[in-house]
Amino acid sequence: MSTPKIACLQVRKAYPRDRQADLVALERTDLEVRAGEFVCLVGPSGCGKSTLLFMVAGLIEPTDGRIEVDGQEVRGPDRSRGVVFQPDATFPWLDVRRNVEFGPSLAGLSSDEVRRIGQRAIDLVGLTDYASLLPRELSGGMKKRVDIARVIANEPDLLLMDEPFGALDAMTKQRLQDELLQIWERERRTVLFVTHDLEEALYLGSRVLVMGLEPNSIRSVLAVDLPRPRTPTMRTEPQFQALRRTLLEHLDAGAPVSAASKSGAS
Amino acid sequence: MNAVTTRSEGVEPTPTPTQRPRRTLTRRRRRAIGISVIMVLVGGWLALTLTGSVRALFLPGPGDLARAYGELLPGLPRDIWDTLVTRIIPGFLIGGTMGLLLGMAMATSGLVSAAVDPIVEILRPLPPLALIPLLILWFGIGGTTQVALIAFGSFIILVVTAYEAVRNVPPIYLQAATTLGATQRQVFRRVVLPAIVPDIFGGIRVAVAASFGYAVAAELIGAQSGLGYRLVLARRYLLTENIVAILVVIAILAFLADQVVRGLNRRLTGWKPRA
Repeated sequence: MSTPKIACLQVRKAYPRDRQADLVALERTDLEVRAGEFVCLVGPSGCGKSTLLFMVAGLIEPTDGRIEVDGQEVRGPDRSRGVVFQPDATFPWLDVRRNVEFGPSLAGLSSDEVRRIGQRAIDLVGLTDYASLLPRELSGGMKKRVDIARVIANEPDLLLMDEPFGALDAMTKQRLQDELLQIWERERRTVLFVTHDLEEALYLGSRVLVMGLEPNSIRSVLAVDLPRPRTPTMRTEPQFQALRRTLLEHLDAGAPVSAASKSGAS
Repeated sequence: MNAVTTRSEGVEPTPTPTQRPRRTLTRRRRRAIGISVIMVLVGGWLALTLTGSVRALFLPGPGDLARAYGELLPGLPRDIWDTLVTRIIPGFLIGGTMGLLLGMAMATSGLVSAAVDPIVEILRPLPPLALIPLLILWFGIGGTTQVALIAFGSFIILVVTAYEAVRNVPPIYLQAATTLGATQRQVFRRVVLPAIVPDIFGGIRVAVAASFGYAVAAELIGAQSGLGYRLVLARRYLLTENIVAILVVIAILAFLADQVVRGLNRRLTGWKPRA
């Protein structure tokens, strides 16, 4: 059996608090993602889905357990694991081109090479005509494209996306979802995608991992057996709606075990 | 459907989130109002002084001022040189550079911060002008006192500014840079440095303005040349017109210095969205 791309083994994250029990962001969780897979993580706010993603990125250290990528333990961030964040992370002092070239330019390549890689990523996300604009001249959707192109330019093995389209309007969101899928179809990089939008998870993912609260962990897995490439019309088909219903049931099952008895608690 | 999507996604300059009501006046109107107020004040000054209703000892008129400039002019280049070039500029550059470097070091190194933070916190609330007597004892009245005072004042302002500026760099930029493969050094050079420039310029403007104050104050108390020293002499001989004439020179110099800093700021931080 080949090594999984991502393997989380009994990973747990807890923050110590004064005179209180630790704040548990993520209870012991196992996770395996195969190379080339598009996996979505869904769950209610505060269930630890972003914490899990940040730990795979190496931005947060697990309290317990172990995270491996290609069989190697994750120790800190690395250019092979690109992250697209929810808030705008473009550097406002650089134009679109210099933003996208940021990763390659750190690696000691020739300036021609950096330029070529950057141009390819810029073309890929449709920013060709906007390469010389500053972030303040761009709309939210365009800035998100810059974020994506900047990560793609680094050619990461693993694409980690933390609610990347969460702050966008519905139509821009759908467009960027389709563009992301096209890029994924072409390059087949492994994607771990955190979202709280169920339709987004089903439309993009091959598998949807459902997380719950108290304990904060992965509760169930839903295989999304919709054909690829996915097309916008699929969203309205009965099969999609049925999956959506199943996913909702999974999410309800993931509610806090004693939710009814302490509805006042957050 | 597609057309709508395209349009909603076009390039658009981000609209200013909250327009301050003050800004609703057009530029021209604002300028016209400002100039009118100045003209009223100048008119009042002329009326009071030319009619002789105020004694020249308290408020000199245009004739007195012209005479004052005639008297001061031969020495003025020398005084400006002494105050600006030999005191304010070196004092600001020495203190400001040290402040910037130490502030950035404190913000990035726990060790430096632990070592230096208590000293800075003790010195920060101290009014720099209170140091003048000590500095005169140490350095005399030959100009070094002014340089030291300006350096100390600029240092305190910029050490705090630089420290806060580095601490206020949005963590998302640092996270983005490290996940893109930047080393700590590259994060500092390529992300922290450009990100703090706007805040640093805020501190530089304050420090430059303060430097003029420190220079003149220290010259009032212990100096043998410079614009502040001329002010003391003029007061000693009750030459009010000379005092006013020198104040105008100081105001013009400080204004020009601020314009230089603002011009540099605009060139270096043109990327920043402005309200």
